[in-house]
This record gives sequence, C-alpha cells and structure tokens, in this order.
Amino acid sequence: MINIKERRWYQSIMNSAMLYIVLLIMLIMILYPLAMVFLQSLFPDILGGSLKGFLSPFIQVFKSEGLLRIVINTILWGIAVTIGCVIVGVPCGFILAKTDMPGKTIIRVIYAIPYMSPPYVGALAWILFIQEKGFLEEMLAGQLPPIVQDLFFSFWGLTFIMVLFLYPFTALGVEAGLRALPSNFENSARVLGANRKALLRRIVVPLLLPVILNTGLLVFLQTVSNFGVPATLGSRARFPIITAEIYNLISSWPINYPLSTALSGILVVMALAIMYFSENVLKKRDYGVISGRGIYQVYSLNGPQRLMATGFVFILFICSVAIPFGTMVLASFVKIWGGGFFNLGNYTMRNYIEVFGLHSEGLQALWISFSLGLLAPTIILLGAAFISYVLAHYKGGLAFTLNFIGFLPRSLPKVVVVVGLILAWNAPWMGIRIYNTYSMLLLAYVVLYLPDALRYGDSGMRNITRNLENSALVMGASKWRVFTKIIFPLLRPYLIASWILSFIISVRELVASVLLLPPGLETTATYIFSQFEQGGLSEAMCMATVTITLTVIALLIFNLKYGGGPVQSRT
Amino acid sequence: MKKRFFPIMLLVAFFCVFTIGSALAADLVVYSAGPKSLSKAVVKQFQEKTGLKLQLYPASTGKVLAKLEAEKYNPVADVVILASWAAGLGLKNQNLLAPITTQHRKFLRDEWVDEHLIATGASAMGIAYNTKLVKVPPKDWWDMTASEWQKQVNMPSPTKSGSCSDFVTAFIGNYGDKAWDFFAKFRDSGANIAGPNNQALTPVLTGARKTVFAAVDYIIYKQLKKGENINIAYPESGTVVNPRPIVILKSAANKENAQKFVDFYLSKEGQTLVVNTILIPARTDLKVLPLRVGMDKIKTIPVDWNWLGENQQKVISRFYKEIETGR
Repeated sequence: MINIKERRWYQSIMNSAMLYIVLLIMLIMILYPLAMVFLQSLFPDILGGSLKGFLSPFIQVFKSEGLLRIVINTILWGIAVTIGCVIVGVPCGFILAKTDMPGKTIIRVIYAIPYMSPPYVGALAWILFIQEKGFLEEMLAGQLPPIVQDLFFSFWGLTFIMVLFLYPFTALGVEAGLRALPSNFENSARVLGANRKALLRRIVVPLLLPVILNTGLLVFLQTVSNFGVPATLGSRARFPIITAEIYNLISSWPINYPLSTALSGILVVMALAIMYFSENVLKKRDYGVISGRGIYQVYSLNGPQRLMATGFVFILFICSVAIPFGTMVLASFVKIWGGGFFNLGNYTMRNYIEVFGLHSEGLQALWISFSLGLLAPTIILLGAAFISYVLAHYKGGLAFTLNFIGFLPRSLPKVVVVVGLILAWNAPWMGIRIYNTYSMLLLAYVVLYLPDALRYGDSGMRNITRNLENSALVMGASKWRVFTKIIFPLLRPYLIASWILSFIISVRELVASVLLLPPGLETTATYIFSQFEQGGLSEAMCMATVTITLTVIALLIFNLKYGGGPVQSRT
Repeated sequence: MKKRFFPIMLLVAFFCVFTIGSALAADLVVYSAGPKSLSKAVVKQFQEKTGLKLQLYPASTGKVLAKLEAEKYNPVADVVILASWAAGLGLKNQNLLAPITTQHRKFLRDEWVDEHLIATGASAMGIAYNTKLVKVPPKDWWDMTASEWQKQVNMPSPTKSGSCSDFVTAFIGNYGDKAWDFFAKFRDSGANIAGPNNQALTPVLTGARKTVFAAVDYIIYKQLKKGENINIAYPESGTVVNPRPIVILKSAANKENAQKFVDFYLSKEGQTLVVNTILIPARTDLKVLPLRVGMDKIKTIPVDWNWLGENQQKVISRFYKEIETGR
C-alpha cells in the first residue's frame, strides 16, 4: 500500500484505476486466449455456439491409440533429453566451477552459441549434414554405415539434437550451484579424512541434487514445449511429438481445433505440474547451504584428466557448434546439391544475391521480421514499465494474481499460447479484424515475450527505493511526473536489456509466425521453414546464416554494453 | 544513451506503422495452391493490367484448405485456387462457393467446368525416378512394394499436396480394400510419406532415394528441363489427371474483382503462363509444351469425381491415421 498519509481522494481512485487497467490488459491479452483453449477443448463446437460433446476431444485422445502414443512419445522424449542434459551438462558445469581447466572463457562461448540459437536451425543443419548424400557421407566417401542415418532419423536423433541445444541449462545451473557451495563442508570432510571420491559422493553430489533436479525439470519443460525440432526432424524421423501434432492438426487439412486444444491442455497440465513441483516440492528439499558465499574449492587436474576434459569440451564444440553452424554456412553457398561439397567450383555467392536481391521474397521476409523485431520490443518495453510500476505498488490478492497471470505465458508452451490467440481473435464474435493481419503477429509477439520483460521490470522495481518516489510525491509531483521523471529513467537499463533480448528473439521467431502467417507476408523463420519444405535448401540456409549473424551481432552489443548473463531464447 | 534511446525507438515505431499501413489494403485476396511461381506471375500480370492490388497467400492445397476452414467464421479470401478438383467439390458441398462463369467458356473442356468450379489447368500423377540410379523405369503402382524398392520410395502427404489427395482418393475409390491393403504394404516396405510435393522430390534429386510414388508430373518436367537426373513414368494400369479448380467464395467481399481475376486466368495470356509452368492448360486452343505428355496420351483409371468430393476428407483422414503416421 502507498504509505503517504495525505493523499487526495481522487488519487486513490486513480491508483485503483491503474490496477484495473492492468487487469484489463491481462484479461484481453492473456486470460481470454487461454480460456478459449480451455473451453474449446471441453466443448468442441463452442465456436459454433453449441455446448455439445463435452470432453469428447480428451476422450478421443485417450481412446485413439495413435494420439495416446504421441503423448507417451513426448514424455519419453522429455525424459531422455533431461537425462542426456545431465550427462553432458553436469561435467561441463563441474569443469567450469571446480577445476583449474584453462580457457574457460572459450568453453563459455562454446555453450553460449547453441544456447542463443534457435534449435530449429540446428536441426535443419544437422539434417543436411547427416542425410543421404549429405556432408558426412561425402566426407567418408560414401562409406557411411546406414545405421548412422537410421539412428539419426529416429527418437535418438531428436534426443541428440535437443540435448545439444539444452545442455547449457544444466551446465549453467550446476556451475552456479557449485560456485555457491561453501568450502567449509568440503574442508570439514577432508579434515575428517575423506578422500576426493568420498567427498564428491557424500558432500558435493547430495548438496547439488536439488539444483540438478530443478534444471532437469526446466529442461524437460523446454523439451516438451519445443516446436522447431519436432516440426523439422520429428516428421522425418516419423516420431510425432505433441507440439508438432498440434501444428498439423490446425494447419493441414482436414483441421481439427478441438483435438489440438485437447493436446494443448495435456501440455499445459504437464507444464503446470512441473512448475508446481519445482516451486513447492524442490524448494523444501533445499538445504539452504548453497548461499552464494564466494569461497569455494578448485581442484587441479592432472595430465590425463586434463586431456579427458579437453576432449570432452572438444567433442561438444564439434557437435553443437562446428557441425551445425559450419554446415549452415557452407550449405548457403552451395550451387548444386549433389555436386560435391569438396569441389570449390560448387560454391557461389549467387544464392545470397537471389535471396536478398531487390524486391526478392527473402528481403521482404527479412524486412518484416526486422520491423516486428523493432516494433514488438518497443511496445513490450512501454507495457512492461507501466505494469511493473503499477504492480509494485500493490500487495493484495488481485496484484498477486495479476503478477501470476503476467508470468504465465513464460511457463506455458508457446504453441498453446498461439493456438489460444488464434481461437480468441478469429472467433465469430470478434468485431475487430486483427486476425490475418500484420497486427496479429505483432500482438502474438507481445503476448509471448511480455513476461520476459516483466521479469526484468520486476527486478528493476525491487531495486528502486520507495523513498525517491515518496519524496517527489511529498514535494507535490504528480503520479505521471513521478513515473516519467523517476521510475522510467531508473528502470531504463533493465528495460533496454529486455528490449534487446526481445529483438533477438523476435527476429527469428518461429511458432507464432508459422501459425499466424497472414496472406502476403513472410518472416525469416517461415521463409526458412517453407524453403526447406520446398527443397530450396541453400536458400533456407542463406536466410538462417543472415538471421543468426544479425542476432549474434545484437547479442555482442548487448554483452559489451550490459555484460548480461545468458539469455533464454527458445523457439 | 539515456537521452537518445527513447526518441530513436519512437521514430522506429512510426516508421514501422507507416510501412504496415501501406501493406494492409488490397482489392482482392487470393489463396492459391500449386506452383508459387505461377500464382505469382499471374497475380503480377493481372495487377499490371488492371491496376488492382492483390494479396496472395501461396501455399499447398492442404494449407489453403486448413486456412479456409480455420477462417470459416471470419472469411478473408475472395478467390481460391486448389490443386485438387475433389477438394473444390468439397467446398461446393459445404455451400461455400459462389456461382462462377467466364467469357472464355467456349474454349474450355466440358468436364472441367462446373457451376461453381472452373479448371485453370491440370496435372497428371506418375512415378518419378532418378535416372542415374534407376535404369529400368518402374512400370506400375502395384510393383512399388517389391524388395528392390525397400526404403527407396518417397510419397508426398495427401494432407498437404492437393494432387496427391485427389490421386489417393481416386485410387481408393476405384480399387477399394485392395488399395488399402496395398498402401499398408507400401508403408511397411519403408516408404516415406511426408510433406508437400517438393519435399518428397528433393531426396530423389540428390540421389538419397530412388523414386517418388504419386509425383505430380509438371514438377518433374521442370527439373528435367533444368538438367536434373530425373524422369517420370505413367503407370500402365492408369493414373489420375486432376484439374486444378479456381473458385469464388460466397463470402467474397470483392466479387467483381474476383470475376475479373478468373477471366484473366482463363484468358490466352493467363493460360500461356500455365503452359509455361509445364501444366496442361484449361484452354483447348493452346498446346502443351513439347517437353511434356499431353492429355490424350495418358491412360487414366475411372474417376467418379462426385464420390471423391463427398468422401475425400474421410479417406484422407483415414490415410493419415493408418498409413502416413501409422506403423
């Protein structure tokens, strides 16, 4: 509550009015679409104005063997990726936090690259690398055992790709956890005569377990919500995953919205269960000793160990950076597919000229994405500033609820949010024609990425002492003046950071673009996607190379200016 | 940074709003399946000739139909072109189409004109094969489950490709359970059924697979013309020639412009573009390119289009469930 005694009556009305404006924004932008998903899944014909067939979509999911298998597939995949990330990410985090391994900066860069890149590009590049007559086969002069391809275009390939792009989550979590581990536990154990092995087994691993479990849950959630990899590699591997099936159900004829929302509902339940588990169950198991004191022990590696660690990092580098991004860049210059990759004459600049020539589709797509990338973050920035400011002043149940709603799209799979937006804005009663226009894409980007900015705004507001504001109010400044002259300038660094991040994500956003694409428009991601589908492999890779380069530049600027920690950016 | 950032953002926002505004208005919205290059060329020439501004959504038949169905409460499109005659009849059965006529009626084949649909051209289905890898061209559909083709055959998904969905429905309409059994065997032989036509073709062009089952012929001719190692065989037992209909939606806001567009598509100018895409033109007074086989030389199986129009959705749903994603 505002702790100023002499406030005028109209000010109090103004205050609650602001809260209700926030409520309205949340209602229209987030709650209404999500409610539509929920209702549509329960009442399949609700858009036609009938409540018939209650629950029939869910019944269909659980009765139909194929659909149930997709649900099980998705869960199995999530578990496999989580295990994979622990296997790869824990040693990685350990090397970074607890050893004297040289070149740690390089290791950080190695895992920052896949962390920052959209997995769908990685999946496409890996497909080009490994598929028949691909780079790998030519490298081995046609001696590639077919088992490699069979394995890659299967459950295992999907898992492999996803691990390559998600292991940094685990690695970062483990590294931070290990760094925060106070050394007195280790010292005590050593004094009592524990050797290294016992130390790891009895002290480090148990203390670290909650961290590993928590990042594991996040990885699982990211995996089952991912759309890009199942949509590209999944269809080739004939391994259907929920997100890709939702896309099929609403974009391939004959469409079935009720079924897609039922599958969305299952995803939402998974996501909420994981959030609940991570917030309420794991927090209680936290021993509270990982406190962030900076004293921690570093092990020095001996020769063979160092060799092993270097080898491990090197293999990671090859798989998650060199192969996908090398293939992407090389493929973007290839003249004829099947014309040999070791033949210099088979490379040309022509692809780029064709894709980005004047009035070309590629240039248009780039421009649309770029404009969305500038516009959406700007709206998000203004909205987030306002919402965090208002919500920071209230403690009651409504404010708490609004905070929860604001963060909700972060934990829900993007596909689900987008399906909700389609249902909400394409409904027969919708008077405003936003669906099928550029504005719809804009709206979707704002809804999807507002929560990220709200998180920044929230932590910004926490750092602004209320005294500044109160002093200004006592001096007779209006609320608006306080907001523009005090709050906004102080929030600015947080907001600019979130602006740049939203820019990076928007420029290559896949899910909303693919599902909402209005006639006559194309974005970078849909361009890559459709070119790949149509066999324009080089064209797709040209666009991928340019977008990745663009976002890497933006990211470098971001890191140089703000030195910010790694950023979540999943498509 | 502090002072400049905000004004710059505002400027950017204004700039964007301006460019968006100019992109929104259109005199006619066209959803078109079939070759993107063709629909783009037709739209471009039509715009130049009439000065009207068109908005084109080029996609596969499956995507166009999905979009139409998704927008049934808020229809946006005026004119729709599909690569599947049966799908056009399906729209007609749902009572979504406006009656359509054309001033070029006397140049058109009777069987390709309906009260609500007119064909803009046609394509035939066959088996495409990589000529470097396949010395003896495949003879018939039914041979494609043989051991020599294990894991060597691709097929486009009938949920995406309109011509393929006509083919599958006609094939099943004609042969019944025999066809379902065949497709089950076909699937078990390691055939890969996925994506629109081009996606099925790409691995055959690169040599990763040997043949495409139910390949739409004009795409193959296009690659042949480019010098790729590819050719097409029309099966001995007969195939399906499917007309590609143009329709005007009942809900069209711009019926007059829509009619103009239809007439332009069927004019000599529009049809020449169709011929150059190596399709079979709708107009009888134009000849196919010498590169391709004409209508008269392709053996067809009997096709009951009305049955197809009524049953296509059921057949394709079952195909998707049992054959394409089933195992």
